[in-house]
Amino acid sequence: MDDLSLRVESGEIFGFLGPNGAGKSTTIKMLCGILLPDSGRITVEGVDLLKDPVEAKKKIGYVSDNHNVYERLTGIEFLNFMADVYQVGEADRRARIDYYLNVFGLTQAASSQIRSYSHGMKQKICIAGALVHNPALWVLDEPLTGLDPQSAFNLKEMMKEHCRQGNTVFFSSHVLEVVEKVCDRVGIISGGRLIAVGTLDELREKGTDLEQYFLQLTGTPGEAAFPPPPGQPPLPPAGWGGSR
Amino acid sequence: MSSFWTLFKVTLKNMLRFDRKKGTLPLMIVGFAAVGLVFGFMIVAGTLGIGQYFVEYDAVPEFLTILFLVTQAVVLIFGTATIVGVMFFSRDTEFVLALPVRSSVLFFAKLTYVYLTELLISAFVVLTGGITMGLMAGMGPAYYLLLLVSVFVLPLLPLLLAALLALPIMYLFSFFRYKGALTSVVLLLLFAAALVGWYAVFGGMMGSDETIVLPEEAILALKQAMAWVIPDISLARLICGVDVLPNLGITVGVFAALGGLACAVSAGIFRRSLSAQLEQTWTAKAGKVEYRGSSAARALLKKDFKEIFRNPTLAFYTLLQVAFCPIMLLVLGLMTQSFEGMAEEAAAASLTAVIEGLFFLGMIAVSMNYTALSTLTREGENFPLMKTFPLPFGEQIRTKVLLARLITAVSVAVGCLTLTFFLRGEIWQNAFLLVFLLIYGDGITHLLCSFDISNPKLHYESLSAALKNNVNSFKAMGVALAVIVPAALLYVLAFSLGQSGALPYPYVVIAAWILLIGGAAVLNVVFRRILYRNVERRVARIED
Repeated sequence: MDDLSLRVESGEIFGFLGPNGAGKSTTIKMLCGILLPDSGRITVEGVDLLKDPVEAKKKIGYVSDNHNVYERLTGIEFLNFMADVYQVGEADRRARIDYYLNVFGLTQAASSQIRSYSHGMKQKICIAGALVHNPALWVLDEPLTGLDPQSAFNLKEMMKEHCRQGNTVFFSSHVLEVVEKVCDRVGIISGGRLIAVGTLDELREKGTDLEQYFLQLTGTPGEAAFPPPPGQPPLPPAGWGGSR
Repeated sequence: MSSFWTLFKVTLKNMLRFDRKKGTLPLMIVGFAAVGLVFGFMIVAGTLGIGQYFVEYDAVPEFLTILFLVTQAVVLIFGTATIVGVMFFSRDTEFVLALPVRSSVLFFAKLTYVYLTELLISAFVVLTGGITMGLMAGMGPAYYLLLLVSVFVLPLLPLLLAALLALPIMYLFSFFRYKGALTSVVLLLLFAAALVGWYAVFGGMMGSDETIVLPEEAILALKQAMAWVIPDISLARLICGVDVLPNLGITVGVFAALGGLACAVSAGIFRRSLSAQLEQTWTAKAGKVEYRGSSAARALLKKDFKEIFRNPTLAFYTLLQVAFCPIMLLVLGLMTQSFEGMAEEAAAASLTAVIEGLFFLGMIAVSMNYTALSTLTREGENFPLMKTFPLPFGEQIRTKVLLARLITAVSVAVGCLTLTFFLRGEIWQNAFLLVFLLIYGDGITHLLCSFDISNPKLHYESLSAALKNNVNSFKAMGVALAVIVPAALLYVLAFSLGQSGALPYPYVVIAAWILLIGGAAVLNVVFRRILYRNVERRVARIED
């Protein structure tokens, strides 16, 4: 990362955009205490993550992009484990676990080991685990990849609801349409540098739409001019109406 | 054939690629050499000690057969866990299943990798013991040449057997919910059966009949028992030039039949068995949801316990630590009693019990604590989760160490009980041994955890490979050698001085024990400090 400075307000959904290898996951990992910055400060609700990591981490719920999780535990064991680690009381634990199992359709699978879950189910149990302590800051790395349409819709609604309660959501994504629909503010990162940040309206003012602006900033060609695979005839240009 | 080589090479590269930046390869070579020297010395000394009787009574093939059995028992014990880890629970299973290769090609490519990893054991045991015996018996060049060939042939038998047994077990267990735990139990039963079978062969030789004390009678009994150990006895006779053609026929026939069987069975079952591991087998269980709260430390402990015992590889290694040395002590105890009739003299029996206890429990059982050696390694790619928990790393590590300490304590206690019942000796000496081993074992468990924290393997194809090809296990063995050998020497010195009347017995031995326990306590404190010093910073910097 190169001199990253960013402030996200309470009650805000912040979308973090960037091409592959731009530094999105690295930023998120530093924000969650997985990686240490060489210099600088990270504060979560006023608590310095580097000076008081335990107190800061209590305020964070993290969903990784690879959904690595303790696969030998059952779904319910994992959620109880997360509730224990974050010291969630009995009543809240029961209510939240029931709620998330129900929302994600995992109630029937809760007593099975996570290793038997599908990719999407693993992702859902990770999301439920990250929310079981109702974190002030919910951080998600590429959260919508692999979710079915209903679950993706539920997740977006959940993110909005989490913010309505005064909490903050910080997520990275490649899907610009999702960012446009959900986020209050957006940051664009490229080569480890934050190159743009603002509300969607502010960004739109600088380009025709978010996609064009993103491609313009990150140096990706606006119209893909991919050469054909070896031995294949060239593809017709985009928008060309003739038959092949 | 080309797809076999392609798959085999990829598997080998994936499993054995060392991190050159960390310089682990030279350390592993030094570790292997150190452990090899110690065990090599033991095998050569043992062969020199009893080899003359085998030469005198024309029983060199029977001696070789014993070497072969020991080799195969060790290969079976360690190879079974590797087979399950590499062949059934490897991360590349899904990928290789999609490749356009035959099931049997897949099976043999993976089995060949396991075979190569076990070849070292075979080479080491057979060559050190076999060459020593060859020199004593004045064997010709053909003996040494065929001995070398046998190194490559021997691991095939236990590995093919283990692979064939694993096929139906894995297929059957894919339908069970807690297949990991079930597999572990069945693997341990298999392991126990292998050792009991091994002992049964020796039972025919030295066994429960305490009247066999003369070498001639023992060798005759051994010859009778070994006559049934096919194909090992045939291979041994072939090497010694006895009835070459029939023994060649039997050896080649048995291995060809087993290989053919493996080919046929693997073609039919292996792919289905692998697929079954990948199937989504979660089942709806309404009304089973429970909400049980506990402290964060207890939650971590429970999580770790479940992760270990539901994982067949980890459960196998963990339970092996508790079971292996007591079983070996039991076997040794019965053999020592019957062969030397030492049970009659309590003091002399104590010497045997303490030395065997120090070696098997102090050096092997305590050092092969895979729960400690996998403190962070077993987290694998889940490791970053640990960093997100709102708990100090020291507290998280403490719960992991606690589990490893409990396993060490159980292993030592079971071992000392076995010693007391089967090697007898003086009870007070066994009590001192227990206290020494508990304190020392507790200390070194901290050190083993520290080794893993300093150099964890978090990205691997199979946990079994990560644990076996781990330089930390050699470091542990080195520390154990540095502590246990001087401790044993001190004890033997005190015992000898007491028995010779130079110093009053048992006071001199009691003084030695107090000194040893004091030393163990100091080491315990030092090893704890090594683990917990800068633990927050050390964990934070992992993968940073």
